[in-house]
Amino acid sequence: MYRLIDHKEEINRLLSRYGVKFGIYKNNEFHERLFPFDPIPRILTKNEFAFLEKGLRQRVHTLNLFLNDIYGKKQILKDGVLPEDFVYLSKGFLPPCENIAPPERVYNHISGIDLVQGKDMAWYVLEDNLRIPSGASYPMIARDLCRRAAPDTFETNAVTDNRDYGKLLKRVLDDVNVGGIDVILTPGRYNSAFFEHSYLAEQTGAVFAMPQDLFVEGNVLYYSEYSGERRRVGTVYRRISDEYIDPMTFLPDSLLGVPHLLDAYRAGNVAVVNAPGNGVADDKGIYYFVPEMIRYYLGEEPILQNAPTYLPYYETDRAYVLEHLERLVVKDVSEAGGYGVVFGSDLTKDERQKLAEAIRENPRRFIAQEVVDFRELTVAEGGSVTTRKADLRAFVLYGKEITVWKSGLTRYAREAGSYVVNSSQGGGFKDTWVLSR
Amino acid sequence: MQRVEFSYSMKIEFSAPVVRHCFSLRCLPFNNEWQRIRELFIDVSPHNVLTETADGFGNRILTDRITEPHTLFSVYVNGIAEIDLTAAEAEPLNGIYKYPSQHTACGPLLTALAEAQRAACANRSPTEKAKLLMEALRARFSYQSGVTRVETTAEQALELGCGVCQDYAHILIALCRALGVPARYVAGIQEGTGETHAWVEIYDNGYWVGIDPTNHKMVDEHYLKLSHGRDFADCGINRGLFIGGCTQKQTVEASVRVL
Repeated sequence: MYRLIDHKEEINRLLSRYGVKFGIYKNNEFHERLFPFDPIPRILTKNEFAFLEKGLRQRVHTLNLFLNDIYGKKQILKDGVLPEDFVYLSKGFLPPCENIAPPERVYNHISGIDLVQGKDMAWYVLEDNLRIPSGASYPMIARDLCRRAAPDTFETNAVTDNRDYGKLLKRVLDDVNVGGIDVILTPGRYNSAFFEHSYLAEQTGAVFAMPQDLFVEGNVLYYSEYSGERRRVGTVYRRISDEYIDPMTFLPDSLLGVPHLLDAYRAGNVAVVNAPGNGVADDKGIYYFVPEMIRYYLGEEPILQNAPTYLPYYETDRAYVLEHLERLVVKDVSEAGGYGVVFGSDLTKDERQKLAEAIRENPRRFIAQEVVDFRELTVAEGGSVTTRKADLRAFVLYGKEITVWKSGLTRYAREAGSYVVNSSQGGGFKDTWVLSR
Repeated sequence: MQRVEFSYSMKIEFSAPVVRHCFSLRCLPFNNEWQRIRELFIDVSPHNVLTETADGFGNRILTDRITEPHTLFSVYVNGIAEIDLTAAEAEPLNGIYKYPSQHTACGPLLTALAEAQRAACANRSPTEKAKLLMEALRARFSYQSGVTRVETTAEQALELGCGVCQDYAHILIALCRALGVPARYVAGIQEGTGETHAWVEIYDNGYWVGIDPTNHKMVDEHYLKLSHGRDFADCGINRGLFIGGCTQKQTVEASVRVL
C-alpha cells in the first residue's frame, strides 16, 4: 500500500480535476475548497469490521424505533426513559411531522455514524448523523483513482470493493419507493456537497433535480421534464435540510423547497429520504440516552459505547462537569459541523469561568465529554510519514434491511495534536479499507 | 346544544397576474363529537386539483397549486354546525403544548408577569390559573389594531402594551405554559363579529377548555373552531405562495349566526 504514497500528488490533482470539492461559507462568502486526500488508507480487518457492523446495525435500528415512537405514541417518554424536555426542546423535533407513517416505517435511510478508536483500541461513537449525512462519495471516487494509479496494490491486498455504494443506495431508494421514479434533489451548486449530489445521481441512476423541477399536485409529487411532461416521483432523496424543504409548512421564504412536499409525504404518496424530523434523534443531548434506548427498545446491551458523556442537566453530572472543566470537551447541543465545541484545556481561566456560568444558567444546552485520546493514523507528509488524529464516519443504509457499507470516510486533522477533523475546519480524508479476510 | 350557520369568505386581488400559486387553507371547521358539521359548501376559485388533507396537528387543510395566471383568488365556505361543548371527550395530552414555541417564548417581561402570579396560582385548577393569568394580562394590555403584525411575538406584543386577538392569545399561552398549564392557539370565528378570531385552549384534567382573553370570557357554543396549533405559525387560516403580482389586497369576512 505504501506504493500509493508515490501517487499522492497525482491522485489529489485528479480529485481536483473531477471536481471533488466541498464549499464553505465564511463571512457570507461562498468558497470552494479541495478536500485534501491522504493515500494511506485506514485498514479494518474482517473481524474488526464484523464487530463494528453488528454494533452499528443495533444502534441504527434503535434510532429508527425511537423516531417511530417519538412521532407517534411517545411511549419512551411515558416510561420515563428520557426526560421529555430533551425531545420537546430539541431544535430537531418537528411537530408538523407527527403521526406520519413513512414507507416501510423507515426514517433514517442513510445514517452517518461518527466513531473514534481510542489508544486502547476500543471504539466509541462520537455522534450520530441522521439528517442528510454527506461524505460517502469521497472514498468511492478516491478508491477508483487509487485503483487506477496503483492496480497491483489491490491485487496483493484483499480489500473489499467499496464501489457498490451506488447500488446499495439505489436498493434503499427502491425499497421505500411507493410508485414512480427515484429523484435526488439538490438545492443547487452553491451547496457544500453539490459534487456529491451529482455523483450519487450518476451512481444510482436516479433523476437529478433542482427544486424548480418538482411540484406537488393532488398530494402527489411530480418531476417535470423539459418537454413539459410530468413523471410521478416515488422516492425523493433530498439533500436539502428540513427547514427548507417545504415553504408551506416550514420556513415560508425558502426558495429551495417544494411547496406541499410534506402533504404528499404525509398522504403516503412519496418516500422522503431521509425522513424530515430526524434531527431529534441525532441531537447531542439525545445522544447521551442512546445506550439506554438500545436496552429499552431491543432489550440488548449496547455493542458500541458512547464516549464518556455528562449531562449538566443532572445535578451530579453538573457538579462533576464544573469541577473538571479543564479536562473535558463541552459541546453546545444546538450546533453542528464542529462549531460550538470547546476544549476546557484551551480556555483561559476567565473563559472557563464564563463557560461555567453559561452551564449553570442553561444546563440543558450543553453536554460534556471526556476527551477520548484517539489513536493516531499514519499520514504521508512531505516525502515521509507522520501521524494524525482521525475519526471514521460509517455509513449505514436502511431500506427493507440494514446494511453497513464496507468502507467509510476517514477524516484526519491537518495539524499535529489537533482533534478537529471536520472538513469545514480544514481536515483531510482517507480511504477506509475493509479486508475480506 | 347550539345550531349555528357559519361562513368564511376570503378574496385576494392581485395588481398583476400570478402563476404557480400554492395555498394551504385551514378554513374547514373541525368535525368532531362536540362540533358536528351538518352541511358544508366549499367554493375555491380558481382551482386546479383541490385536495383536502390533514396536518400534524389534526387540522383539516385544503391545498392546491394553480398554474393558470389569475388576478383574483377567492374562497367561500359556508355550512351548518351543531356545537355541544358537553359532548367533548377526554383526550391524552401531547407534550408539544407544554413548551415554548416560536411566538410564545418568554422573555424578561413575560417571565416577570408569570412569576408575579405564581403564588396566587398555587393549588388552583388549570382553568382557574388561566383565568387569573387572563386578568393579569388584561391589566397590562389593551386592544388596538394596526400596532402589531402577524410575526409579532408574545414578548414583543407585551412590550408594546397593545395588539389584537392573536397577541392576546400568544401572551396568555406563554403565561400558562410558564406556570405549567398546557395551552394551545385556536383560530376560528366568534358569533356577531364579522371577522376571524383567535383564542386559547388550556388542558384541564383530560379536556381542552376554551378561553377568550380578548373578550374576557370562557368560550361557549357561539364560537366555531377552525384550527389549532402551538401558536399562530402552526395554524394560520390562509398560507400561500405565488410567482408574480405586484401588490395584493386581501379581504376577509367571517360569521357565525345562531339558528
